[in-house]
Amino acid sequence: MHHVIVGNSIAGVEAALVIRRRDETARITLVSDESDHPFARTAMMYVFCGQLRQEDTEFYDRGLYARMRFERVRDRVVGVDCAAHRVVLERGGALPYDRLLLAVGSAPRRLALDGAYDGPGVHHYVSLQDHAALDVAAKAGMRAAVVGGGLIGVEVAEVLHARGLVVHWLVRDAWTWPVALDRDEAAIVEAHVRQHGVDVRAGAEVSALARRGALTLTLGAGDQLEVDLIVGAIGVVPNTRFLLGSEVALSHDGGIETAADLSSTSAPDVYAAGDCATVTWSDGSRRPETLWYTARDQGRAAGAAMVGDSVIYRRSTWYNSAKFFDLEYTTAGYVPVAEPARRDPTPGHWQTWFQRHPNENASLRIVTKDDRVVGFNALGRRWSTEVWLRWIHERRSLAWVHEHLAESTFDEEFMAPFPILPSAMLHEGA
Amino acid sequence: MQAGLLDTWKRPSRARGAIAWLAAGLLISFYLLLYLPESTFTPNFPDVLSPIAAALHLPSKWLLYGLLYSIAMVVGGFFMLRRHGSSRYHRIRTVTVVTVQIVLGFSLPLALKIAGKPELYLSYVWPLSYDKLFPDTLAAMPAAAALWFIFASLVLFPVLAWRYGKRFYCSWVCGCGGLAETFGDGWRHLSDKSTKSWRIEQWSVHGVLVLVLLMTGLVIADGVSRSGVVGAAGGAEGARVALSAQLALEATTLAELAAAELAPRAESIRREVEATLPPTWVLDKLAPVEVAATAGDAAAMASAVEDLAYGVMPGSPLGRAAGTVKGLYAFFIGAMFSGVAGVGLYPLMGTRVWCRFGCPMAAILGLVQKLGRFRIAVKKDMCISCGNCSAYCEMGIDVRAYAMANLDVRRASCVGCGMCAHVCPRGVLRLTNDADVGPGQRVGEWVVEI
Repeated sequence: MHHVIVGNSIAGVEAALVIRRRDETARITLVSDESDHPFARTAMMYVFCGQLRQEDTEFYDRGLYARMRFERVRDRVVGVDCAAHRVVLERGGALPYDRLLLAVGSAPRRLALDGAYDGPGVHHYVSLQDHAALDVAAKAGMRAAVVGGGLIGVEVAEVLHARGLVVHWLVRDAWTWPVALDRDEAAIVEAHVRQHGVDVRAGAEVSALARRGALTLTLGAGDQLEVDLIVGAIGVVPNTRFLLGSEVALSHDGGIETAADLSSTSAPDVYAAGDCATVTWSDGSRRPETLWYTARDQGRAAGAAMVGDSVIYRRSTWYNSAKFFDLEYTTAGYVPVAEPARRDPTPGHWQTWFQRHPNENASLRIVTKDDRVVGFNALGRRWSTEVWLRWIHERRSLAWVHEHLAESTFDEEFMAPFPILPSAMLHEGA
Repeated sequence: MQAGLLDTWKRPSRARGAIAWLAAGLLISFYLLLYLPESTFTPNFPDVLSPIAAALHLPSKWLLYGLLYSIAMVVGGFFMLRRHGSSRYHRIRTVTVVTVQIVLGFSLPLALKIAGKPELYLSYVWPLSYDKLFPDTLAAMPAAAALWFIFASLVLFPVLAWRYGKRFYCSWVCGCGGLAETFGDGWRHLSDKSTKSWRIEQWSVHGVLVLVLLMTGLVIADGVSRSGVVGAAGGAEGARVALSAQLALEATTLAELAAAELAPRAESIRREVEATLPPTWVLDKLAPVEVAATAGDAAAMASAVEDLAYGVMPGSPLGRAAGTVKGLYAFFIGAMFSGVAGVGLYPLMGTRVWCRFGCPMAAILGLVQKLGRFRIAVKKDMCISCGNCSAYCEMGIDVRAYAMANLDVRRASCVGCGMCAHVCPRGVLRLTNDADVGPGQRVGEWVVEI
């Protein structure tokens, strides 16, 4: 049995490990045009600023392939011939498979600006190659515009600023990361990022780009911004263009349509895992999960399915974490946000409790539905998402959660408990 | 991103560049100058530090060393807090470990020495300070101090390690750890993270522990036999055994004598020794006693009498073995390993070379820690595999492997510095002494309808 896995990031390599554990003799080939060794894409920013070396981001030792007898193909897959059970490689040749896992991840969403890609100066920050190009291009003293108010945006703003560039962070929406933060929380984030010396501009949609020596951006109201370097960080799309025209069915957003066991809904013996797979979310919607730890879980599930296990991949209740410069973010459960897919809460009595820490850069938001806590959003402090999810499952009230809040702290030792003040706001609606 | 960690690998001083090699060379040279004149293996090595200490009006070169050590920790602590001072844990820990050094590692021994008493380093107990359970060492110090060293070595420190992890010592009290955490902090990422070095570490650190246990056993057995509790020898042998014990005791009382009383005491010692008809090399040891007595230097006389006590002792196989092991351990482990390599290799191999590969105290407290409550709790299913925790672990623990596997970190070697938790960008790690409630449910186990 020959398992071909396209993509050697967390989903691909975890699948390969599950397959090897179950099948000592299977032939397992990992195809990647990005890197010899799996590495944490999440840590490229640390390599950029010298906090880590590239090898520090490799989450398994370099002997893994030899030890597990994984074959390595450094090439790009440009097509899949499902009928013939083979993938076509860019540098020529084809690779036959018995089972195929597509763990090809995301590609950056390209800037929809005329001429953006007609010359140098416009970058993205998703692949190792993006990283290498930006690393060469970004020089201290340059002016940079980071377009996009999400996580990659803030991380790129951070590393460029650390390198000594003048950074403008351009956020299209009224506030940063509206898929996760409400206006009060975004204000904390923006103040924090500004304090570090980054020019944060919310409500600044980029409408045009002109190349006159430097790059000139036209912002929403007609303002002009001249920069030397642009990083497009307006999200990612499934890296599945090479599948157009193949038998592998894609969803409207480009993700590979999968069944509950992560097999392709249309092509036999083809599976998908990670950022490129369209899966069912805990709220019933179908879209890719662009998260590191779910990619790991999907890889494991797909690997098990490929060796014949009966698998149902199902996402648990939502939780996540992030970091904006020094400000950590933790969330668990259902926190209705501005994102269209999750905008409308189900019917019920929704209330939101929100409190800023009186003297720290920290906040906590707790959302209740019909007097039962259903979601948490926190900045600054560290919290145990395990405990929060358990409380949500246990249907605890807001008063009970307030009383037991200290049990969910995950701060470093010696931190005073997060205070619950009578002045904190409890308002109607989610 | 941690402000203080930016550029870590881009600076030659922190990335094994030329400056790092130079710094290592300087540190190694300093430690050779400090230790080699002391060693029986290099008796003629010139002692350049003692004259410097004398010029600075410090009573001994060890106090000069203590002064430099304290300065390195204060200055290093300042830079450490510039890097990591946003964390309250690191603020409290750093201030504590520097304070312990200044008070117990420098000021108290200095005060004792000036008062004419033996220097006592109360924060260094057995087996790190390997002679603190040796009968002669204990007999030479005040009873309260002797009791402290026995109690701390055998009871208090192991109990604290069980309750709070060995970090209470290795990252909060110990001078070796303190220097690593302050002066050495900028080099912490240079520790080797490979499984191979973990294997070497297990063998070497426990090997040193076995050595120190063997040595302590030999020395105690030797002391017990000399004290006559076990098998009193008869005749001339017996007289010399008794005289040796008497001289060892006498050495401890000399400090209390006035200068004028020293010469008569030296004379009576000569008579007593000559009465046992010892070999000439023992008689040779009388001269330094008399020189010190004439000079009115009680401390020098005490050490000469102690030396004489060993000389008078009839050579037994046990005593010879104890002496040999002690000499080898003092030179190769005490001086070369913990000092020269332990600190000298900071700029090349990271800050905890000694703590990780050699320290018998770390080995014992680590074994206790494995059974105790301390652990690094891992938040389930939240690790993004970035590798900061492993990279900045000075003990070379691959913390990320545990975080990715949803396993709490319970490693004997962990000194609980807390840096992994501090540098984690997703708040996945937490040092804790709380009772473990057992494996929690995995986050991704089920969905509740809302």
